[in-house]
Amino acid sequence: MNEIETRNLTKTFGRLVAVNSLNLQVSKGTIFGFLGPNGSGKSTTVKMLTGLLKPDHGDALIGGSSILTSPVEVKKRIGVLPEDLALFDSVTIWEHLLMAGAVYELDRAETAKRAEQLLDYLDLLPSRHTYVDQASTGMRKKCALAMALIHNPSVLFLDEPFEGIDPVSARSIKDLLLLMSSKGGTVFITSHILEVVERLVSSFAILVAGEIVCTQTVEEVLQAGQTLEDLFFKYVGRRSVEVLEWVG
Amino acid sequence: MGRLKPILQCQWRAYWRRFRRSGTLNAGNQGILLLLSVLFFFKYITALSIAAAELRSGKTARLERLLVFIFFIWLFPLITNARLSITTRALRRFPLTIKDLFLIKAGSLFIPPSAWLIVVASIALVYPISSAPYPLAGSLAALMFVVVSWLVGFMIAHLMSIALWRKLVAGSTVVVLIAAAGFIYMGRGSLKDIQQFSVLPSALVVRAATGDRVWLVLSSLGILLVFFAWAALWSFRAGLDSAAPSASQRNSEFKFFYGHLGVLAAKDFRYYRRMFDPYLGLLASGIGCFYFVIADVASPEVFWIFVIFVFFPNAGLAFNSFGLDSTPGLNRYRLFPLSGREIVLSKNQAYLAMVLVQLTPLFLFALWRLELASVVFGIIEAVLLAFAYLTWGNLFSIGHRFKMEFYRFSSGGSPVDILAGFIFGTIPGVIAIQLIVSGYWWVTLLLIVLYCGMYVASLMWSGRKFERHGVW
Repeated sequence: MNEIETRNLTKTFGRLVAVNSLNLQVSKGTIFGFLGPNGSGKSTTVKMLTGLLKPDHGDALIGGSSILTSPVEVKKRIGVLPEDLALFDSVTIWEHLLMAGAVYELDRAETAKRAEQLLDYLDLLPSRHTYVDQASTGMRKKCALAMALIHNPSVLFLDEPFEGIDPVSARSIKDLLLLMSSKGGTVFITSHILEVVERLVSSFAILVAGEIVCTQTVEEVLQAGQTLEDLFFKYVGRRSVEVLEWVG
Repeated sequence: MGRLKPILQCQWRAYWRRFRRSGTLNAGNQGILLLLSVLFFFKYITALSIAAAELRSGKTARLERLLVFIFFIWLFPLITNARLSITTRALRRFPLTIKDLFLIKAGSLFIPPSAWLIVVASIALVYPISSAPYPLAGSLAALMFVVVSWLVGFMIAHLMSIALWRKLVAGSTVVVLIAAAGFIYMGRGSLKDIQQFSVLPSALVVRAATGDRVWLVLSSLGILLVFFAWAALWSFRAGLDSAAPSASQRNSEFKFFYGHLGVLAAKDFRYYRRMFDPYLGLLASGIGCFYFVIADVASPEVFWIFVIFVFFPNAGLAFNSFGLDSTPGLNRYRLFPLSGREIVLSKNQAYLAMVLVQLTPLFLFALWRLELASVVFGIIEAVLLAFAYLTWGNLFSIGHRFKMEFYRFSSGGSPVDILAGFIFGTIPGVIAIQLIVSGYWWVTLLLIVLYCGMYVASLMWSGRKFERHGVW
């Protein structure tokens, strides 16, 4: 059963086609990696799937609900760690979680309990009364992640979750995602850290210039004697460093 | 200077690009704004001519008033939104000294055409002064006065970004106001007496122009200029080095707001609390309370007019309710499982809470001095005003957002839209007072139904707009 399904999802900005007729299926209970170079359309896709951007054409279903016709239903079901973290200035980490709990209609006691557990797990409890605009990048990212998790979503969208995160917290996050997936939750990750993705995801797609050029399971890649990095460079290509001979 | 020039050029280009960006010209009604500026200048030039004629006959009061006007007009671009494309903090990564950064900031503040208008208006002061007995000394003093005015505005703007100084300024303002009120109440003085205590250097310019101890006056202005130049540089450095105040669990507004929209309203209440506008509303309310203390027979009409005055400074919060949200903050709204209507409603709740805080003391004093019926009419009037301001605000907050900054007065957007909003927001209050005074109080109930309907329609419309396009 597909938890995420896109149908000809398209987004253009002026003459730039950021995402071109994207058709994608992600099964329930999997951790799905969405890979691609900068500007390939990954974040645009995540923004469309999470309601931040309206697609020009096509539709997407999350848990069977359309992002176009039932956006509020979809948003209740998903948790999102967006690219810009979407946090409010001059609001503390703790207040962000109180806010998220209330918006997702958890009662105050339950919100406080979950917030405390999440912040403790993510090593944020001592700094919970810090304004997010005064917190470090990693702390802000963990705050946004805790907000994405507090209502126990069935689908989690994570845009570059490991960037700026210390190794201990990164490990904690990985364990958490594996736990969620083992209990039937679906995780949709975009990341540039291919080693982490290779160890974490069960299947993936590579997006180049708004189009999917490869969809496979990690098992298939390993069976073919390749690494995810080999496959990635096969489709994306590499630049020669020789033109920068003046450096150093 | 070579290092500063490219940065100033970038600021200049970025400002004009933003100005010319699609839609900005129409949204800002720049044509009408230009017309208003021309009309204002015509009026100003007339005032200068009259001041010149009066100076010839030895009268200096109008010149002094013009100088005070110029002093306050210089505060305007500095303590409202002096938004720069490249902020000073962002420039700190470059190998620039504090003085370089100061010069860049100072230069950048002269990029908007509104600053040019103020410069022209300041230079024009030379015209009436040329009719004075000592035109050269007067003009030199006026020039120093203008620079001092600018430096004072610059200093205040930067001090306001430091938590400790905000508290000090707020505390001293309250003390000065209470002292002034006490002074008048004790019957030992009047407003005119207070004016004589004015420490503004405008009086020094007049003295220089009329030849009253010219060298002493020019020296005093010179000392003031050096002092405020140092103070401006010091406040600029202190503002850059100051850390934002740390969060306090005790002061959390989140304890006082409930429900899934209440938490969002709590956030906005905090944002609004960090603008200067609501404090003017609080001041209006305070003056209203003071009126109830000193009036022999308190008039309900005066009370109802004060209710209108309290709403007036809060208009910027209603008309630009998303102005304090950053782009990531706006994205968070779109990620929450809330309809656009609910999001706009949470903003309206925060506005109402803010206005309620300001109105409460006024209504308590009114209960003390007026009949219950007059207070009830005041409540009806406040409800009408709230509906009217929010209706206009909901219509304009979505499509005409402009970024506002904390610890500044709200400004920006189209002056025509804001003026029209003021009129739209105030009219029901004025009509309600007129109806109550004429004995047709029951018509105000019909007005409430009408304005409630308009408010609900604006909420629906803006909610749908938010869902379709977001805020732009």
